[in-house]
Amino acid sequence: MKFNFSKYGIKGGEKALERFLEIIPGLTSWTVIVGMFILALAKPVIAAAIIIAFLIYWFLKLAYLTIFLIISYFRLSIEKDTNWMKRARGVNAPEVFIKALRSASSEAPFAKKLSDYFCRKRLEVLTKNGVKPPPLEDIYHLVIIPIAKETPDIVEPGIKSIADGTFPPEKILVILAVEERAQVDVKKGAADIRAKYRGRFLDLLVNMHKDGLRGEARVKGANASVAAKVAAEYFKTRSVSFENVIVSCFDSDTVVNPQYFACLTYSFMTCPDRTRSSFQPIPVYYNNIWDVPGFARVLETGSSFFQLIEATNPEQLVTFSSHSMSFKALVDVGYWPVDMISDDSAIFWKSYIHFDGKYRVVPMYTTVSMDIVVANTWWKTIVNEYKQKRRWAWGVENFPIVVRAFLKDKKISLFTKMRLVLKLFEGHISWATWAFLLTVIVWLPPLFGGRHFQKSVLYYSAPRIDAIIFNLASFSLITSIILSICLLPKQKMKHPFLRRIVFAVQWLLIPVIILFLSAIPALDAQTRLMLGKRLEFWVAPKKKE
Amino acid sequence: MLILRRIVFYVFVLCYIVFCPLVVLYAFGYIFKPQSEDIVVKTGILYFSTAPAGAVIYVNGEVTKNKTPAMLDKLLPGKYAIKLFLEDYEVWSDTLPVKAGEATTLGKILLVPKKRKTESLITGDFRDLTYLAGTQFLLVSRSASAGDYAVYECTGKNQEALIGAGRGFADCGVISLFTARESSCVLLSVRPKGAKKLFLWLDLSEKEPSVSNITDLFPEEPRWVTWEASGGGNIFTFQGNSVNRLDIKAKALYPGFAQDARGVGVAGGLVYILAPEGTLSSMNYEKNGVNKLLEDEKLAGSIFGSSGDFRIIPFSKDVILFTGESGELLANRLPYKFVEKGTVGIEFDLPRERVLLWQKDKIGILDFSTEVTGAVVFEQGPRLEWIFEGGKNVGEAFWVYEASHVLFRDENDVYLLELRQYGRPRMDRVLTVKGKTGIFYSEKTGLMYYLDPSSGNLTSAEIIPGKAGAPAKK
Repeated sequence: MKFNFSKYGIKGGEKALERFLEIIPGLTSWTVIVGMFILALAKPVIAAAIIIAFLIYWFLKLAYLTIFLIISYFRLSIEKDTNWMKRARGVNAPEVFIKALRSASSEAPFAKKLSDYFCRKRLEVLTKNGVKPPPLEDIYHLVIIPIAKETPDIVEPGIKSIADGTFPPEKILVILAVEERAQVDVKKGAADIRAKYRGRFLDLLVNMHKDGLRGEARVKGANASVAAKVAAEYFKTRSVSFENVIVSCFDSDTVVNPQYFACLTYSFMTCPDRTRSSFQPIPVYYNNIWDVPGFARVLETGSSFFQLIEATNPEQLVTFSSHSMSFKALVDVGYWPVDMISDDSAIFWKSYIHFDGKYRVVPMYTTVSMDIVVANTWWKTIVNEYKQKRRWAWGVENFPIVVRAFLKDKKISLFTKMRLVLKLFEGHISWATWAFLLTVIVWLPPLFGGRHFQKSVLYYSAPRIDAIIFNLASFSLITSIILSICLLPKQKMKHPFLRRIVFAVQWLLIPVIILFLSAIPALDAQTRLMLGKRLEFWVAPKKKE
Repeated sequence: MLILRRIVFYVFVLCYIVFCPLVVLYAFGYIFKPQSEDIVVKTGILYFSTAPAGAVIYVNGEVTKNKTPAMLDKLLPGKYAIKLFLEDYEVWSDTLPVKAGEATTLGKILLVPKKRKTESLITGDFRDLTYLAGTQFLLVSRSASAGDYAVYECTGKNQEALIGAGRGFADCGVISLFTARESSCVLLSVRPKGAKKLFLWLDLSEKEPSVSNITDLFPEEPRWVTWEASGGGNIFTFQGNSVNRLDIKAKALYPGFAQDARGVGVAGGLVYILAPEGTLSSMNYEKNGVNKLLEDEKLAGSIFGSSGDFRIIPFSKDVILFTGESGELLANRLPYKFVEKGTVGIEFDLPRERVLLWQKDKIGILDFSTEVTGAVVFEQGPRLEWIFEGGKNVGEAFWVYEASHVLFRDENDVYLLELRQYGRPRMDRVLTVKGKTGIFYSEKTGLMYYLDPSSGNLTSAEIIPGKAGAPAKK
């Protein structure tokens, strides 16, 4: 469906509808928080009953997510030692490779056997459907790295990780998409990186993105789109089919796993609808994990966990942060939105709508590592974390546009549309409200219930039930602590055991963190959208020790 | 993975659909009782908390696994015979009602020790004990001579002579002693041998209370004196029909603060004046910001009558009490007059908006929280309930253990009255004190202070077990 995936350039009723839909998330969140607050004071019996019902829902959802977090973690562990390049080569001749996998040594470790099983199943589906994967030799990668303020010390480790990967770098085109408004040292840094690494890649281009182009906002997507158009010309002149190009748009601090491009190539080759797919790795924030305050560590580990859980639900998976997609799809949909801050999720919705729902995100069990935002002082780090989370929560800007598109679309089933909108809506509302309900409002009925409430059975039973639910939920917290320690990179450092213990203890900060660095930024973003205010794209400062 | 995810999802949805209503109903007291007529029955709760904790609970003669503090839930509506057992304490028993969906709460049970702990604090054959209401200070005296008065501070366990030996005024005979609620200051009316009456001002919060002779500020003999703890040294004297303001710090007299008055009271930086016709007004210490609180002379006349003086006691932000010369107790709430005569003393329970009042032979509670006004056919005023009657000569009474009990002295015997929400109050005799002497109870220490009948020593007795224990200062 042809659809203007933007809040701009629309008129009349559609503009009014867009504005109305912008108000809905913020209004709902505020209604939930203020409504429950008033209810807890005015009708504590009803509030206490609603809180119990909510806590049961919250606990079950937590348990549900924990199950899939564990499954996803094991899936990631299973694929840790997988030779993806070997697999990608195997896909060139799937039948032979399936046989080889079947006859693999029975003495192989269980994890490898399981990994081989998943691979075999995937290839069998491919061959059964008669889909011929493109030859490995024909596949090219395009990597776009938008740069606004980042100096070479931030960018270079990522470039090096791509060059040092198992996938041949000579099949990778890297474009450093530098904002023209960037400082001289940033531009010079990009040029230096080009000079140093150009010979290792198919090419390494530096593209200057002019500031203030018509129709563009100062957002990452605008810069990346111009770079993608340059790449399109590059491939066209070299007669490389867009169908065989995979584009990855990375944050400037992204350091990929050595196997990343091999895994991506394998995933692309084995994906039946590869030109209508995005590929989502697991983002982790390990580049500077031991150099940041504890609260930031816990917060970002939580973000990684969220993506691990989402990876088990490809039906409703939405792209996030650094990810990859078919270049053909990108060109077909008209590149990234040039006026939206949440370009990572917006490109998925734009593609989904463009292809009338025939677009999906393929989860990849490999990691890309990024920096945790950090500043010179503790307080500034809190402020930066707050701003970053608000920027992430600004993904709520997708809601009005997606709903508007779904109202126009006739090809996507109503059930699918309802399910996706509900997930998008519920995700943002729970992000902004749950922490308030769990940390503040849950205590209000017993505290301000009044004498009548104090004489009821509910006054005594509700705190007991709440306590039981919180205790049960602590199993989920313990699981998270264990998994977070298991996920941590093995690194040479002083007192590694002690530091891991401290890291575990820092998880106890979670009630404060989710309120102040998750819920309030989300509520801030929704309130701004509700009031029709804009959010400037804020480039998170990155720092390396 | 998708199939697994869907299966788990639907299992969890099913869990929620099944468990959520069950848990919510359980929270309201509903339980499944297949053997009963209704199958699903609404139950109630019994909650006990005792001081000291750890009493074994018996229900209908059967021992339970619970020890106080404890909650007994899933109880079918009805009456339950409860007994609480704790070693070295008397058995506590009562029959308590349980209503469907309601909690019968006994959160402040004081177990009565078989042998009450007492401690001698100051030795000496004291003849009287008085206290400064709302503070931790009490005064004990061996004779009427000012030098024989000692001050005792309950929380710090400090003792001082009121006026040290060798200092002036120590030989004076004390005629009267004025105190004000929550103020650590005392106004003494004393008479030196063969000389004119003097007025002395002492601040007991000072380590060695300094004595200020403020006799010059009293041109006349006051009938009563009032001030507030935060009044900055301003006191108000009532003599004849006039009210004077005295600034102790500046040693200044402001006569004629009110020329024609039937009553005065001070609170919250405001002075309340009752005019002869019964109208009431408030103003600040400088007589500015006059606010007419009652202007209807007809109504005022019907409340206060045409004669008699009243002490005005602002009880809370909205409630003002008036105590008359004959022991009347009035308030600015319907039906205005709560006690016709005979009120000896009152104590406040501000958090629960209650007033404890006592007469010579009975003790009552005036409950302002029960007031219901507005959208009702019959408005309901504050309730006065007599909780003890048939006394001989009730002296002092105190709220105890967050106003769940009342400690009072009747003649020479002290009693502890447990205020029960369910049924008549239960009363225990605590001990006997020296004849015609007062008692004092400190909620902070949980101790009662009295003069021992045989030795006359200042002695403490434990009322709330385990609360006392602040180390004595050397």
